[in-house]
Order: sequence, then C-alpha cells, then structure tokens
Amino acid sequence: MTDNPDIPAGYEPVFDAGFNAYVGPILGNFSGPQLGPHHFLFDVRPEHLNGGDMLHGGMMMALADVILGSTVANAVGAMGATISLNCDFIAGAEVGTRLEGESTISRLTRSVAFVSGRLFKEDKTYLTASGIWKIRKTAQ
Amino acid sequence: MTKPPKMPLEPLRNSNQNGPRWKSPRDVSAPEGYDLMSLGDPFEAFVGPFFENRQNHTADVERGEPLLFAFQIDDRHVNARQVCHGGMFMTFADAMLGHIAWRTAKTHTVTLSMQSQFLKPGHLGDWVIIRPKLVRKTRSIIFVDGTFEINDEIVYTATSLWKVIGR
Repeated sequence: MTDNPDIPAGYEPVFDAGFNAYVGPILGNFSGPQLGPHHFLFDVRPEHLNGGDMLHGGMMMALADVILGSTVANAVGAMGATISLNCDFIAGAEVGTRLEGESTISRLTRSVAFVSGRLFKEDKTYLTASGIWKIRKTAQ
Repeated sequence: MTKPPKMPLEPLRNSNQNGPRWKSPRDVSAPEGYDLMSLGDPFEAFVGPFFENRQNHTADVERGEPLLFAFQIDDRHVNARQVCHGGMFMTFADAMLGHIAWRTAKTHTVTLSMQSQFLKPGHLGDWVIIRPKLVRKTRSIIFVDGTFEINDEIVYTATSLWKVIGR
C-alpha cells in the first residue's frame, strides 16, 4: 500500500491526503485498545524546520492534532473535529529524528472525546498535548 | 483525492541573494493593502506564502495594537474533508503570534505553550485574516493572543506563552 520502505509492520499513513500527505507521512499503529494508547512515527525533514534549525512549533502542534484526532477517529469509527487543543513545548527536535507519538482517550461521551498524548523519543519528551474533539453523529 | 507533490527543500531556497533565505513554492497574489512576507523559517515557506498588512510597519505592538496577516487556504492546507487542517491554523498561529513575541522581545523567543480553539471550519479558497496582539510582557515571558477570521467571522482563537531566549 506504500512505496516507503521505512514503514514498520503494523503502521500505516494516517489520513494520507491534503496537509498530512504534503508534510507527511505520519504513521499510526492502532492495534492497541480501542481508546489507546495508539502509537505514531514521524521523520523530521529539512522542510519541517524553523529558522533555528529545529522542528517548527506549528508542525509539532499539527502532529499533536493528527495523532490525537486519529485516535478519536479510530475509537468512534468516524472523523471528529478538533474544538480545543492545548500544547506545551518541552524540547526542540532536530532534523533526522524519528519522533514517536502516543495518544489515549481519557473519556468518550456521546458528543465529545477528551484526549491526551505526547511526542517523544526514548526517554525524552518533546511536546505534551490535550484536547477535546467533537464527535459527529453517524448512522452506524 | 490527489496528493500534492512532495517538495524537496532546494526549491524553497531564494535565488535572490539580497532577499529572504526562503520562498514559498506557490505564487499567490497579495490581497489589497498587503505585501508578501519575508520568511526566515523553511516550514513557513513550505506551507506559505503569508502576507502582512502595510499598517503593521507603524503599529504600536507594545500598546496592544494588533498586527494583520493573511493567507489563502489551498489544497496543501486541507484535511480529507476538504476543510482547513487544524495543524495549519496552529502553524500560522505559531508563526504570527511568534512574530509579536519577537517584535516585543527584540530577540529570539520560543513557544512555551499554546491553547487553540477551533470555532468554525475554513474552506478551500477562503482568505484567513490573522490578528495577533500582545497581552503582557515580562522580562522572560511574553503573553500573546490571536484571532483568525474568514469573511469577518472568527474561526479560530489562540492564546500563547513565549520564552525570551537567554533571559
């Protein structure tokens, strides 16, 4: 399904269209429990950097949006909409880093999901995020 | 949906040695009253161009006067539902609220924290007007808020904290 040899078993590109395809791929593994934790991978490339040669904060928040949002989508079977996302920037990431991500749903109601997650590599955390997603009611 | 082509970094380099280091891969005409913005970050060029209002040059940021920036939503900025990706709004928020932090600190700043609220979707072709403003500055921390509007309706708001490097 992909021409990228660097995709480990169990991972797939997440919502690989538009923005995600342009900046990505962002790889997700949803084999864990329905509410997570789910696992993600992202390679920091030169076009993702800021003027200080570190991963741009906007790209870090975009990753948070994608990993938290795809965990919601996976849990409810339909794409939700971000209504709130809070991000704390803990460390800068350099080009060539294969960032890992994880996200977990804390609570799922009929209309919203509370989600949190982080970007990390081994024992170093780069960003923590928490957010609320609106769930669209679908005929299931 | 067709995927936008992957863009290697080299085309983002500006061949004009006197200009900014980076240029965006898309040509977009500036809206009335706005100029093409000079960008120092490869990622901002990669997803840009951005535009800045000519009034920004004389705005008194330290008195809380907002600056005005703009971008047009294109096929690189949308998600699978064809609405503007949250990550794109947050990228412009980081860039433009960061611009206020930098202009206030007069040195480098880094994002410590950003809180985002997504009120309404943005669609392909929409022009987004961004109004960031300074809320408070201390020696080491700067507080910046911003709103994004499409057709005079607020679609996104952000509040943020910035660390002044070396203080």
